[in-house]
Amino acid sequence: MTNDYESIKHADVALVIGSNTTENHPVIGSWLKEQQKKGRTKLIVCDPRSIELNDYADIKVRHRSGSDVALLNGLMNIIIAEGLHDKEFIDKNVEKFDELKALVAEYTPAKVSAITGVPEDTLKEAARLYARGPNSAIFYTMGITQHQYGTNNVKTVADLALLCGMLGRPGTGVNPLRGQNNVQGACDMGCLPASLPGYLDIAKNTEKAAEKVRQIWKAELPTSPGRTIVKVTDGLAKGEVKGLFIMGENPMVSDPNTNHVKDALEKAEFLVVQDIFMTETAQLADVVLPAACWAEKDGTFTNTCRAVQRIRKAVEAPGDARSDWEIIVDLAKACGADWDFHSPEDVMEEISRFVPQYGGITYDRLDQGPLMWPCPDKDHPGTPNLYTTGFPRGKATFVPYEWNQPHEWPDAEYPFLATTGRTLYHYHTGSMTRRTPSAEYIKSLYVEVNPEDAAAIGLKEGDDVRVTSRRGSVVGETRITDRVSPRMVFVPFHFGEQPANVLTASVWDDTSETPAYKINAVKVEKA
Amino acid sequence: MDRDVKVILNGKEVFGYRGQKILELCAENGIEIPTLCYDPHLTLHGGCSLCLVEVKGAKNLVRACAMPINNGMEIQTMTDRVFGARQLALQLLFSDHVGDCRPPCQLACPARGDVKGYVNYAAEGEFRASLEALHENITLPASIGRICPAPCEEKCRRNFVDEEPVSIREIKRFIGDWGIKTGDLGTIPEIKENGKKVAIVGGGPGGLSAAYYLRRMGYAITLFDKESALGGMMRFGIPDYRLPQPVLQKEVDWIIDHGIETRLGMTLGKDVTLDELRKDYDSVLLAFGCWKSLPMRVPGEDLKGVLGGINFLYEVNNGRKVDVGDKVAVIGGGNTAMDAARCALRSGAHKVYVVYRRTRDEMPAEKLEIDEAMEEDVEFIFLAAPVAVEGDGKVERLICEKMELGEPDASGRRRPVPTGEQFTLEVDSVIAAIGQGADFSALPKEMHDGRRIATDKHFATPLEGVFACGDLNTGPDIAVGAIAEGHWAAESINHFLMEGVPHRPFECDVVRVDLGPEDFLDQEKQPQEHPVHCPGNVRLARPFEEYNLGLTEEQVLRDGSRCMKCGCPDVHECKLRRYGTEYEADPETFSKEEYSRPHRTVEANKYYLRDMDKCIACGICVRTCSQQAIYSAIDFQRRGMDTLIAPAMDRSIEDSTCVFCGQCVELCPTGALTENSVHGISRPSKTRVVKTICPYCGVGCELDIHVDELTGKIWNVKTDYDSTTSMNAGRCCVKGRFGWSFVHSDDRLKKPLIKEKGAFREASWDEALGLVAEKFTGFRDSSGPDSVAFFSSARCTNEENYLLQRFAREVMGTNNIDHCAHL
Repeated sequence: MTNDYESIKHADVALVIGSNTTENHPVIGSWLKEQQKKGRTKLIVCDPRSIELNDYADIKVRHRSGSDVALLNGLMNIIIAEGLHDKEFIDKNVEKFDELKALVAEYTPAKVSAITGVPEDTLKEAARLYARGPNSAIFYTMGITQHQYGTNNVKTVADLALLCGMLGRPGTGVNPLRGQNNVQGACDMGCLPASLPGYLDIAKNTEKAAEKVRQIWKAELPTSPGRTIVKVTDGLAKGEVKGLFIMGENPMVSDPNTNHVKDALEKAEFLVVQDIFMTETAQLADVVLPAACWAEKDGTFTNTCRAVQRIRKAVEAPGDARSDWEIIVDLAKACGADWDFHSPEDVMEEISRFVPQYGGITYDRLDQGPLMWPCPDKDHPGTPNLYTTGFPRGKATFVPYEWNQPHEWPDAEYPFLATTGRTLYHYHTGSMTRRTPSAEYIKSLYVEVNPEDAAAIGLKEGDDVRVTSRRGSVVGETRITDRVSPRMVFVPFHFGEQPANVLTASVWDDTSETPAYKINAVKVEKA
Repeated sequence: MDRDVKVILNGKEVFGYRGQKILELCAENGIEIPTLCYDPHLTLHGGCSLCLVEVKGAKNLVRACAMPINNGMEIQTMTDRVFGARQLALQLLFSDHVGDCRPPCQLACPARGDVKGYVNYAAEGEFRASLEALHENITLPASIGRICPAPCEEKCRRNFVDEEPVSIREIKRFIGDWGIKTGDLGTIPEIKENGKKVAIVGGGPGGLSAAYYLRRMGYAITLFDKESALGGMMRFGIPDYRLPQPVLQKEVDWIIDHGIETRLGMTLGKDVTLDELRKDYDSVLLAFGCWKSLPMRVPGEDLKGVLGGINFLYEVNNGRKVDVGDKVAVIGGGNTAMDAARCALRSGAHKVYVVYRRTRDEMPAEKLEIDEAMEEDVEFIFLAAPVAVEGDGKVERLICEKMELGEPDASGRRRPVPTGEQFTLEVDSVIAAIGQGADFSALPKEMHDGRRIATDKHFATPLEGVFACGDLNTGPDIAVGAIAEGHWAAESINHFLMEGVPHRPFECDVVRVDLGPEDFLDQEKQPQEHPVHCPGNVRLARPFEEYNLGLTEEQVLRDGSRCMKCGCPDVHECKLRRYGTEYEADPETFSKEEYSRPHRTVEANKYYLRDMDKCIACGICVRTCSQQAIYSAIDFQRRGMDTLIAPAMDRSIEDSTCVFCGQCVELCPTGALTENSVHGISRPSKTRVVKTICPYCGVGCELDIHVDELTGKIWNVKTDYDSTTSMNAGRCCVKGRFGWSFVHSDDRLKKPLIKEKGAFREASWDEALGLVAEKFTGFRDSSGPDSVAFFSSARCTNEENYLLQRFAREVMGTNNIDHCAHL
């Protein structure tokens, strides 16, 4: 998020797109609802599903799945046509306005309405409301990113915010809500093939990166390009990758095209899985290492608004299980490394030297409360809102995109569109929540089906329904609801025994390699 | 805001701001105003009427939560009138609160032992936690677990299901024995000395209990006893076959190990006087019991061979051989009579009679004691009373009169009425076990009337600073009664020494007595576990050896699981009960039949229990739902006496818009809303709070993990609305609050595993990590660094992610590191 939570209270308008906020980020959802109920914030909800937040929306934009770029271009078309864009902000801060203007000019309300299925008037109202602000914030999540053209979606969202000058002030911003407790931190810490901790790009800043590694690790930086998860999976299948070490992930359930993932993991010559449970993935491993869970260790998580926060050990780990950090330190030593870390605090001390954004972060300071990065030195109070004084690279650039038809689209054989996602009661692959009271409340896979379709197929509430894509099929319990549009089904992915990801395709966004989970052509039958 | 409003608060000048409510001003000045419906994070409701204070010039008391301050206002927050009004308000609330605070077993226990707590810990195999829970109220558990008549078991609601209670006493004994067996009798805390000294006279259960609780409060204790060993009646009044002395001694030693000074062989009035103790100590507690056998008041009582029951037991327990002859008559029907009869058998008598003036049904002795005496061929002569002892210089016969039962007396038992018909028993000894009294010879006249010691309900005698407890105070009673007396007297002494007046703790309990078998039809029957029975002849062959060997561990686990966890799980957190205790409100002041709202639901869902019978309509949940959770799943429905809080249109919670964030459960001031995840047991007495961050989505909510210190396991998860370090300011979702139980899931990975021939085997860390290191460095060296890859985790910490990428890059030499940021 460019902005912090406090900023939400200052938003006159909140545009929520591709985020089922009240289920996936419930506390942020509660703030958005509270603001709307108190009349402080107008809410624009853009989602193919009629999510709960839609009940509070001042403007409901129920666009078709995969039509986000068209929708956003359409809004920008209206804003420019009506002169609602922030000319002063653009002049001062943004390049290539003309390119944007030229491209979005093609996206007339009529055309966009045809692509998205949203009435022209609704498009106009939404565009005007967002542009007029005075302070408008955008919130998005996986509904934007998990598409074949997810990067285009994200950049087009940024274009909209730049066009209206909705950055750098409380109440504005481009606010992706991160799905996992420390996904922000894992990125910050350089668990990405192309960059070192602190987003130091290895290819672009090779010498600087190598120098830092020499200085702090007393080692040589490898410069061959690293493989992303997707490429590792391919590499395993081809025998190029022989050893794989998985710390706390369950790709057998979380990754697309489960059957393909299984083949690849089985081909690994040596697979190590470090986890708290014998997950579907751990079962395929050659060595399984028992890890302490979140309540059993100290450390830090970085949340979606860049706040670094302390987690604290509450209870002892069972049996011989140990904290992940301890295991890695011992493994490094077993491989001959001369590492000297005795606590997570020791590691944070090194992080603060390696990662400029974490330069001022210490455990002592975190005991007083969260610190939002960038926090470059010990006296820096942290940075709740980014870009308050401009952009680090000088000027931002508009990067407009044409709308592209998704990789797969319902046809005669697979007439439905299946979208996968999370629900309030379970989390990710369910290895934690399916061992909590929620396991009893939501026991197994369910599939949301529109009443119209249910009637046509002959499905009653609770009937078993089979959803089949070109890649596989799952059976779940029918839930009839108009939260999904006709010819659309929603399939949560928490249930390893009926994994929604057998439906999804090995199709990714070229840039981010994020799987295109949200669009799958399927057929729906009574099971 | 300017603090320019001057207020005289309890006589002190303080400043507040305009519009500030009295309650807020009080909170700022460290004065807690009781309230059940006010919460600073919610809008005002003003329904509970507890926050009343007195404002000078105002005719009526005013509500502190709603009344803004103004210049010159004079406020008194705790006058008699205020106290009375709050007490009345509480009593009215209780009239509508169909609660069940503490379970009947606990209320039946004079010491208020946390039966539900220690039984359930035991059932879960958490024996140490069980022992610690026992020590909260019951010292000497291994000893008490052998001899207690267990009034708790009589009230156990399991009787409604199986006609047999949970084996509470045997479980207690097992736990006490576990401590002795493992040598870990419990934590002895570091004691913070408070500089005050208390003398305790009498080292029986009452004196030991008082010493234990006072010592833990920080008092320096000197324990005086006339004997050469501690234990009092438990040591010298109970035969070894029931309570072996080493068991008692180990438990006594553990208490003394708290740093208690003992002065043995010191008789009050002879070796030390009360005046001396009063001079040398801040307070004196008398707990020297009832050691005088009461006389039968029949002719011939002075003959050689007539013994007092307790005197006889005292001799036997001192290991002295008492010659009782061949035939013995024991007079009385209590436990002392049973012990005396059975000890007489063990002292060489061949024929022992028990003469009792009523029938077996009226006998005060414990059933088991009677059964065992009968098994040992003690002959019971019911409806008979001694009229004379005869003999030439020594006992030769006992003349008895037959009795019949008449009208009930004050004790409720039918009165024995003489019939005039007599019979004779040829005996060599008569043991009179018809009652015991205290020896007051060491006490000044104003402290007793010759029969009873003069104490008030706070254990205080007429001499300031001198207290009395145990049998001395109550007359002969069961050991756990003395342990209770010692505990409450300790509290009263503490109150006296800290606040200037003695005060026995008051506890407010709403009690349910209207339950019967028909309320438990859904419970599965499961018979009680019993220790192995040892036949009478075997027992007599090893006369003073313990023959009840107790329950096995498996039996304890099974029997403990029969506990139905009665009582309110919220009992330690309930604000209504806390205020009820503080204001000594009697919950029965107004009858529930007349005042309680009818037809309220008790509804369970997967996350919490809604027991609307306990709802006091404070509306906190309604406001929390609409103002914090922003769901409005529930509201006040209906009006007047029918008012209740529920989802609209009589739907269940699961059919409402409730999303189970549990914020209402956390803020509910009573047990109307309680979490399921606390296993139906009330909160443990010792918890610690660990602030951490939720492991689920990226919002990063701060959570307070409450850890049961006795088991080291998570008890529950809450949030802190007033936290200065929290980004969620108290809010959370169903996963944050209820999504923690996986932590203690049985199927957690506990050992490193290595797969061999398709199956996992356990391995040591050295072996497992050695193998991983060998394989990975092997790939690196033979196929190049990029032949290995690493997936880190968005679930792990920054530190762990940092280390894994450093390992990949530095040690393995590859950039093949990624995590599922996109999923």
